Amino acid sequence: MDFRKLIDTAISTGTDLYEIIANWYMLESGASSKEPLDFSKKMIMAMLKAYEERRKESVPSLTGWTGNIAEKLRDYTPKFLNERLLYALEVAISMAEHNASMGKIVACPTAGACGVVPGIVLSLKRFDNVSITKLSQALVIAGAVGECIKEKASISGAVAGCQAEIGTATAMASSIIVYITDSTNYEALYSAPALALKSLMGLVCDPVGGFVEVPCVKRNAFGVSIAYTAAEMALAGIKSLIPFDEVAEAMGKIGRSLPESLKETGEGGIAATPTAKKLLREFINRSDNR
Amino acid sequence: MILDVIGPIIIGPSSSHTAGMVRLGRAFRCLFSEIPANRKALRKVEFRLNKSLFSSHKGHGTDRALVGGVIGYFEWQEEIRSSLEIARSLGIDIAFYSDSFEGRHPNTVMISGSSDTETHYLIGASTGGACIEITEIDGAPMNISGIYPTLIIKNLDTPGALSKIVEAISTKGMNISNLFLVRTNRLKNEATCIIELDNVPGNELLSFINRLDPVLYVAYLPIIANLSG
Repeated sequence: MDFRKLIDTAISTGTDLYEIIANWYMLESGASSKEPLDFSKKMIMAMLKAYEERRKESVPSLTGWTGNIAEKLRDYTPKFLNERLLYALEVAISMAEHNASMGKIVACPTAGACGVVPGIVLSLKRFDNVSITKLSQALVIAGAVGECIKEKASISGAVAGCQAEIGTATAMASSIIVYITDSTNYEALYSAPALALKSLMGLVCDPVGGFVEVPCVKRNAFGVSIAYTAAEMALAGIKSLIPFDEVAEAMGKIGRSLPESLKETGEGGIAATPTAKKLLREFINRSDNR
Repeated sequence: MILDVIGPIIIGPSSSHTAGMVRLGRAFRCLFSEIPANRKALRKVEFRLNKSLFSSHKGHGTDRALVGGVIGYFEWQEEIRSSLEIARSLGIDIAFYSDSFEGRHPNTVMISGSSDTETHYLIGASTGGACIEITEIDGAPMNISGIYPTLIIKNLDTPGALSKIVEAISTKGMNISNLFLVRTNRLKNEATCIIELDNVPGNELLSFINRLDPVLYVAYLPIIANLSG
């Protein structure tokens, strides 16, 4: 499915993009057109709950490499970023740390990239008072963006690298911001995910020890800031010269040409650095002695 | 579809190393006819993890995920975190080994175990995004992904055995989506029949099939890959 086609249908019929996607879902799955919104609401509520849970206690991850990063942002007064962005970064990292310590999260689109979309959703709720229903409709739009990427490329780090995980999450998140801000700005709705994905193109999946911790947790925060940047640029009228659907195709091609060592195997990139190897040795010794 | 891109709700840290593993564990549990009613019935379970999976299993919580599934939890339940301790308190003997499954998916696991009356094994893989693929159960090769209600039936390899089973299903007005039949033991004259259904079978149908002459054993795998949390 081309995202362009969904947008064109919305334009030509004068129907809200959310309605178009809900109907498309109904035709594809045979289920009710209400199902995406109901499911989406459930996911939003689960994101809010996960963040609340995490705020109660900063449990360290299984390896002990992360666990108190979000806390540092929480207690910090930003020197350059505004309050909204700092909060969004903190939410993103909270979610990613919750995930790394076996917390209950929403895999949106994956567990490793589970912080980006909640970072955007929770910050829009807090600073713009956006209703749960409106956020849920926006998440359905994000679902269509993610589904298009999944069909044309992949959303798995093992298949296409981190560009497919944090990259997809960021593209999805940028479409949420645009939809909430101006749901009929179709040019921006089509450009934002393309701008976001292009900026993370080629990003490799090189987790230390193969665990979803380093660098995954912190990358979620960068996803959030890129999502806001892409949305802001698109809303300013900046167009992605390469259309989103083609960008998604290109990302898949890059993913296929990446060597295996840079696709979640924990053998290349930062995972192959001396410090990473040392951290891993220490963890293995610790867990063998347990 | 769009719904599995914006979800599901799972216990972290990895949909393939954690959530999918819970599902494989739960599929294994379903092979025991007496277990759904009795949590303590399992005595011993062994997990053989493909080499790369074994080397990272503690950091991904793969061990907790597999055991959590085997004792009946779902991938969104927080009890998964403490599944090893829960299994111990239930008196289940657990062991993990490194193995090599050449020519199979890298995330392949073999789960074997016994209760007082039954012994089973399952080979399967967590293929990403919490999806699973079961490739062998008790000597019968197959390829099922847990998206249909599935019957695993061991029967005597006699003429008409299959038609009796299929007839039982069709008289309940159920539709079969996929069917595999393999002879598993020529000496004992045994076959395994794997039936994926479009509808959820009732207990009545299961016990009716169980009482059919050629049928030796029936296990029911409910939809394992269920999105709603």
